[in-house]
Formats: sequence, C-alpha cells, structure tokens
Amino acid sequence: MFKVLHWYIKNQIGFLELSNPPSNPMDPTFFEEFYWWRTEIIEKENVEAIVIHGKGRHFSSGAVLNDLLGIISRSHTQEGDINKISKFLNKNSQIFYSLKELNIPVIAAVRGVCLGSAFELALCCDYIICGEKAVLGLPETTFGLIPGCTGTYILPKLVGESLAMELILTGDTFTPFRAKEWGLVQEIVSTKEVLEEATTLAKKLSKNFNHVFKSI
Amino acid sequence: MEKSNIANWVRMGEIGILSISNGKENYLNTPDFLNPDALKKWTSEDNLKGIIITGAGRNFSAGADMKNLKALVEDEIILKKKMNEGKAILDFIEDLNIPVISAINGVCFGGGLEIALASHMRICSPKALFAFPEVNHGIIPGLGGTYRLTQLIKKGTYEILLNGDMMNAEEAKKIGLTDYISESKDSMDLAMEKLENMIKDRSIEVIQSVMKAIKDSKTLDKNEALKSETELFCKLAVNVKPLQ
Repeated sequence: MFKVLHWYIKNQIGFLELSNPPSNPMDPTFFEEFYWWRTEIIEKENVEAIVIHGKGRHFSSGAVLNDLLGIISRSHTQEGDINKISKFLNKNSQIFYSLKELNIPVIAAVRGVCLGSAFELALCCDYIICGEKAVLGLPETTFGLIPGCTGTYILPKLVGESLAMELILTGDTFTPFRAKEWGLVQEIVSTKEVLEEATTLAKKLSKNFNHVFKSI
Repeated sequence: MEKSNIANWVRMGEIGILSISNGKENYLNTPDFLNPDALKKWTSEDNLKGIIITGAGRNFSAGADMKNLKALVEDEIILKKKMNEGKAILDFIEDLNIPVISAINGVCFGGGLEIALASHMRICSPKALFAFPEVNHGIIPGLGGTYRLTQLIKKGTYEILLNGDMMNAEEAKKIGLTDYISESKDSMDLAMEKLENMIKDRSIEVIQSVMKAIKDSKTLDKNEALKSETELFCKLAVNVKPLQ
C-alpha cells in the first residue's frame, strides 16, 4: 500500500512506521503517503491510540532539502512567484497539525535522529517519548531557511517566545533531557525500550483519553 | 556613541547596544526616555542583526523618577501624551524584526521592567532585582507592563502587581520573568554570547523571517500563521542553492 510508510495495528493500537531506513527521510513520497494515511485511513480504522515511530535506529532526518528546493525553484521559475507552491506546501503543515484534531492519543516514539520536519511532526503529537540518545532540533536556519512545517507556530506556544527564538535561530540540536526540562518531551527511556514503553503508554492513555485530553 | 535623551547607542559589529544612562539608578526622567526618531534611525542602520538593551553602570533602571512623575501628573493632557509616547517606544522595540535582549544588572523596577518585558529575551546577573513598585505609590505600570507580564508568565501576576515586592534573580527565573541568569556579575557577557550565537552566520532575511513567524504565532490564528510560515519558508528557499 505504501512505499515509505508502514501502517499496522496490534491490539487496537495503530502503528505508523516511517519506513525508509536508515534515516527515514521525509521526501515528497513521504508527504503524499502521510496525507493519504491521515485523510483516508486513520479515521476508518478502529484504533484506540496511534504510535508514530521510525524504522531502525532513527526516527527521521526530516525533509529532503534538495527535493524541496527543486520543487520551489521550478515553481518559482514557471509561475513567477511562490504563491502556488506555497499553497501546495502549506498542506503539509495543515496535515501535520491535524493530528491534534484526532480524538485518540497520538504518541511520537523517538529513537535516534529527529530533526527539522521530523521534530515538527513529533511536536504535533500529543505526547513524545524519547530514547535517551535521541537527537532533537530544528536546524533549518543553518541552511538559510526556517522551520516550515508548523515549528515556528507550535514551539513558541510550548516553550515561550524567547526560547523558541533562540532554538530556531541557533539551529542547535539538543538532548531529550534538555527537551524534557523545557516541557517538549514527556518521557525518556532507554533506546531499546522506546517502542515497548510507547505501546504500554498508548494503552494507558487511550483508556482515559476522553476524560483527560478532551477536557483540556 | 550617539545620544538621545537618556539613551546611548553604540555599535559593536552587527550588534547595537542601547544603554539607559541617568545617574546611578538610571531613573527614567520621563516615559519617553529616548526620542522615537533617534530609535528609528538607529534600528534601521545597515547590517544591524540584534540589539542589547542595558543600563549604564551597576543598574538596569529603577523606573520612573517619582519627582518628575508628580510634576507631570499636574497636567493630565501632557501626562497622557508622554505615557503614549513611552508606550509607542516600547511597542516599537517589541515589534522590531531582529532579536532584542535586555541585559539586566542590579535593579530593574517599574518602567525599567517594562522596557525589559518589551524585549524578546531577558538575561540577568545573579544579583539582579525585579519589581513593579507602582502600587506603593498608588499607581499601576503604565507602559504596557501589566499586559506583557500576564502574557509572559502564567502564574503570580496579581501578586507581583499588587504587593509590589522585590524578587531576586532566582525567583525571577523560577516564574519565567528572566530567561537566564549569567554566571558572571555582568549579565552583558552572557547576553553577547547568546545574541552572537543567534545571529552569526544568519542572513538578515533569515533572522527577520524567524522573528516574523514567531510574532505571527501569537497575533494570527492557526491557519493564517501556518500559511505565513510556509510563505516565509518558500521566499527564503528561492534563494538557497541546493547542496551538492
């Protein structure tokens, strides 16, 4: 069904695996498939919670820069402005953010690298559980860009404007321990326990989700 | 160095340093502590990527000079005009699309704290002191301080505004009033380090885009903010060369 995603259900928990190892990059195929999964699949399935994770050692290295630059530059040359491509790419942000509209808990289970768009996807989840060696961050400004998939909107709301400004402008990566101090990450476990803990958590959260999450 | 009213302006490369200089306590003699035109001129200088606001000497600012304020109160029309000018200056600072950090040593009271709240980040020395003492004089902060305080910290705003008590650096850090406490007794060291890390190797376009996007996150609704973010991203992307 999918090329770079793997969707499977175990005991009423839905697992979305980013499945293009080793770095599970978010190329145009990923965004197409993610859109399809979000709009056509999730709500038809009878799952109580969703766990998003990466295949292998890493969550994801984020968007593939050259693919994106190519799409934008071609569109700019053909159309004379960025309006059309901007509208098209805005769908990616909307679809990431729409995870928050689901009435079941969505958990990001993060091992290894989780950078740029991948970290933005994790921030759109209700809960982030990290392996202790996870590497997090929004490095876009180091490439002359800014986060473009909800990061500049969500981060200030989660950590305040001053820290958001610092994290985005420096583009520095950080550990899950720092992220937990800032309230971005909820739980840190050993790397090999991430998926198992996320599954246990998914079960636990789904039971109380309607009472807890919906009242917030 | 350039001067306007009680403010001094010095450039250090890509950084501009705005210092409040008025005696030991850096009292704000009037709410418009510098001329808006001077502020506009300085902040539109070439190659300016960030600003640090600080107090000359040992203190940031003890806020309004009560003697002057009492004289101002005599004429309600002039008072209102001066207060609006002061507010416009702080709004202008907050709206700047480059990072503005307040480096706070010593006292940061009343109008001084309102200046600090209008900047995008606050860094204080271990011995810094914060307060809104206005209530002790039968008034409240008048330059946007009540609004900015409630936007910045989620708990304890009534207490701060109603009891007028002083807070030390640790307490201010705990409630989120200051972002960092410097190790050295001069907060300027850490402020320079933080600002340099944010602006070095960043084009002015990237800096302005980040500042605009963060501002959008609080002033626009979700859909509009996300739309604006994508547009800013695409505008920058057009000029980025693919990696080999």
